Amino acid sequence: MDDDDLRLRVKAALQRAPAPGAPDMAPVVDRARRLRGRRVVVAGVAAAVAAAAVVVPLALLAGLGGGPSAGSAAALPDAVRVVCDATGTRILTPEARPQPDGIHFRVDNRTAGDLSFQVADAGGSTAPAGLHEPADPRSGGSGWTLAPGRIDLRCQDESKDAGSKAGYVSVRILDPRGLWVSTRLGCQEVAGGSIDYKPDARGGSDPVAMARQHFEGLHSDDVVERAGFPEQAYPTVRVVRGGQVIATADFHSDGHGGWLLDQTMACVGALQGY
Amino acid sequence: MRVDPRFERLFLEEYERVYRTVFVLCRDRAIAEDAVQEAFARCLERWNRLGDRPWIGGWVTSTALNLARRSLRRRGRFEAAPSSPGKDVEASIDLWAGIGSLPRRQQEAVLLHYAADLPIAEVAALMNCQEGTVKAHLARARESLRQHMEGDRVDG
Repeated sequence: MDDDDLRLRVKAALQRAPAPGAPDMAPVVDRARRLRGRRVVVAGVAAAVAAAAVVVPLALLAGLGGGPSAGSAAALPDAVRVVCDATGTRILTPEARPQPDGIHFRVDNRTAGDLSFQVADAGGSTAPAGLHEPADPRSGGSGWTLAPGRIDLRCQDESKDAGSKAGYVSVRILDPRGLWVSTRLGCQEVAGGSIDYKPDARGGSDPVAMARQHFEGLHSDDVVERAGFPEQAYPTVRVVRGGQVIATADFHSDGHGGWLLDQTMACVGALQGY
Repeated sequence: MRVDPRFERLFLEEYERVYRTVFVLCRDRAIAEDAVQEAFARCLERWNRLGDRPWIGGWVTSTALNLARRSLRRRGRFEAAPSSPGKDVEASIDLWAGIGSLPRRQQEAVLLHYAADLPIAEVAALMNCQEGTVKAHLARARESLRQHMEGDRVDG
């Protein structure tokens, strides 16, 4: 394949990619303003749950919304089984439990075409709403980093109903083994930041030590520890002060076995620079 | 926030091209749109430092590709759904899968040079390396893609 051949193929592929919606600058300006102000307000469901965290012992948060059902924990499936057919989305496992690397979905696409698989983030976890993944009957996939509790999901034929918000069904993720360590900040006003690196940047091996180094103004009794799922693909570290999570740090791989600090969130005023 | 008319022009002129380039990598509308919006937002936030550079569209593309890649990693493995949607689309999916399987630096060089249409010198500036290194990445990528597509034909 020579230079011109590849250029033509890439151009053809680009032309066949679905066109985006009309460019809308308003959300871009909003995001830029937030980046500049480094300050956001946690809204809606997440804020309500954060307030509850003040009075709920931290240990209970691991199973928030998904406490063990007596006698049924061992029988819980390790993956959410979903069937997508002409009638829509059906869940064969109304309850399931996470694995150490996260929540697994097994999607059986019984339609003739491709579908996207979407999970709406109902629990204020670190992942944003509207995740997509191809509905592929072969894939259990690796774990998704979503907080246990109620999760809404659907299969969608984007060629027919792009933009529709209908058709979600719910599954309840219980966490009888207490795998999930909450990343939900115990405050309403949150500051965040992200870090850019040179393409060849190399990271460190100990995310907890790196987070401890990054966050200035830690108290001597602050607890800095791994959070999320114990074997999730990309580590998250949290800082706990007085029983509340006051900061989180997400890491991504440097491609060579090291970790680079990616995004941080902290309660406003809790640490220097936030 | 006051928006410089030059940024507005950049946004309107480049949005679709950046989006399509990112979509080729991630094949996911939501991830692509999120990554492109975030990249333009970062560009706007840094406009005083970036606005005068000739390769600003490339900077946005490169940033959006990195953000999309990061989203894919967070959300686990991304596999192509099996389908028979027609020869043209099959060829595209094959190419997308091939590009997706390239090492990160080769992938970045291919997308910036062939999809975003940046000259080698600008790709090198964005990738913080020599022009010769970019050419080497592109040559290896072309060979890998050739083998990928020929291999798929034999297997298929």
